[in-house]
Amino acid sequence: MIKVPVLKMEHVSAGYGERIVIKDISLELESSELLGIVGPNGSGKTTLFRTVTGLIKPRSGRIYLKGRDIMHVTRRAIAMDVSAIPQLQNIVFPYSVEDFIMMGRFVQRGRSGAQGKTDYDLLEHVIDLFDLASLRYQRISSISGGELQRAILAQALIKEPEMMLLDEPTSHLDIKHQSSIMGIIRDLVDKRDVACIMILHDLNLAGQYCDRIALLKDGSIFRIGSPDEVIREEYIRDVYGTEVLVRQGPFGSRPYVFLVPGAFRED
Amino acid sequence: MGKTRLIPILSLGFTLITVMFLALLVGGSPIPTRYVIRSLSNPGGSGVFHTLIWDVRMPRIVLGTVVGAALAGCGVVFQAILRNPLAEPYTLGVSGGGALGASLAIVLGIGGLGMVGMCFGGCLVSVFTVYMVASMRNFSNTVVILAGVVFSFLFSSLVMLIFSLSSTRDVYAAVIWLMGSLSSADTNLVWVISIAVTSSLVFLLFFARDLDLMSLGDERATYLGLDAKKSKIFFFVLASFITASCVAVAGIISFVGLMVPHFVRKLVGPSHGTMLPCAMLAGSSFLVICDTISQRLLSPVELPVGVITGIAGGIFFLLFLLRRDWWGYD
Repeated sequence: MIKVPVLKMEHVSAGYGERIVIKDISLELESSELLGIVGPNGSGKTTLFRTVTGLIKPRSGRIYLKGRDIMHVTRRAIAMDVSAIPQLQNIVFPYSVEDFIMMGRFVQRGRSGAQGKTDYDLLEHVIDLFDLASLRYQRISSISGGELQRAILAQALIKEPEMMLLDEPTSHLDIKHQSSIMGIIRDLVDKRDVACIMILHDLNLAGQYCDRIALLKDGSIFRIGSPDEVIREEYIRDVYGTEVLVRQGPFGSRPYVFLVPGAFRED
Repeated sequence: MGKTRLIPILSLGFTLITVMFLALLVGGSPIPTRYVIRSLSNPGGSGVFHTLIWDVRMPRIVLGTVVGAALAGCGVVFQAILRNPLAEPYTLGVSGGGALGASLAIVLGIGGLGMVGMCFGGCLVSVFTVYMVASMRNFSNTVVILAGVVFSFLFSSLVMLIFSLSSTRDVYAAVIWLMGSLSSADTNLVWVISIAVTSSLVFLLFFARDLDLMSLGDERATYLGLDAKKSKIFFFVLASFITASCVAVAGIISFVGLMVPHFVRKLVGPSHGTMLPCAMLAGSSFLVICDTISQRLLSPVELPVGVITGIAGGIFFLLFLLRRDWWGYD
């Protein structure tokens, strides 16, 4: 049997209005693979995210989700398979953590479906997984940033997606929560065969946790490959316009980036 | 979840029935309880009290119930889809258009159903213009709200222009109308509007989960499986039509749509499955109580109900500003 990639992008360009932001992007993603997207501000990371999730339509090229062209798939069908977590923005109304997580089951439950046993079991499961038991009846407005990010992940996971997209899931988190969130995501990918795309600002987090990394420059993929193929001094210099040192980190062959003080280069 | 939802809904429902019955007793001048019960148990009866109960108080209380539920319900909808706890049914300029239509009708000497029609027409014109402007900017919340505010100003300026060119008597009649009243002259109209609005509100209740998702923002709602733009248009149009119907029969009754949702959200939490029906029931009770106060406070002079809701609303608003943490927002 030929394995169909979870996600396949062929020469995709997209943008807003007249402005094309990402150009000619092609990539494939298998299940149980964690792909990191890195690149400078304005290099098209978030636009790529929104295109893959179907929020904005590609100007040209094709996107296939489990072999189906997403132009011909309904919003509901995409949401069945894909969980996407945009950058953290404030949740205006003070829902309880439990109600908030349950909203993730909207596609399965529909408008008026009662809360079935599956929903309830899954709720218990994700609450357990993200260590939210003590917070489940608290208001979403009264919990900390790290707790909120965990609740958001729980909401994304409760529909049991085959692919997850995350836009900077670790921004605003301290190192303990960064490590915990990254660990959970890594586990999902390894143990449940979830395919995952993650936008990261931190090259070192990307280097430590991702299977592959796509380095974006001006809306195109500059390099894509394993961390040690992409995180190289000359590529980082070209794309970010600043001098860095890349050394092998303490964990296997994974690269580690060091900033060089005073090395900012004006182009 | 299932059973805990029912408790607040049933208690508010019971409160509403009690309030309606008390309003029937008290009204402009009290009717002895035994006459009310006798009259209610015998709809085909006759007599002064019977006529007063069935033809004067009943339509008024029903209208108060329906309009209160509608304003509170639409307030909930606009707050959720615009992700703005300060949105209300009139945020999008419906009241401005309605006021323009009604003022024109008064100045032109058109009364009764013609005025109701012109007011409704005015509402629809403003909804349509706001809709057109918003659609050009992809229904972004900021644009929707700003367009609503701009058209509200524009239409109220036109109302002022009409006032400045009209007689004192007409202006007085229009101002009284603008302050809102439930003493609609036409009983048949009350029934028609009540049935139309009530069925729309019941229909709205089926979309509580959509409102939950919309309140997280368009992008998140989309990722959770909702077509956010279509949903926003659907809620925008439905809630505007409901509001327009209310404005056409009862004028502009301020603050019900703003403060009732806040109180109810505080009481039962923001989840719309519980909160939306609760807000509707609470809105009904609140408006019927305010209307009874407006009849009794300076009896026999009757105050516009909008004045009572406005005063209560103003005080509430101050509390909201001063004690924002208490309300559960940042």
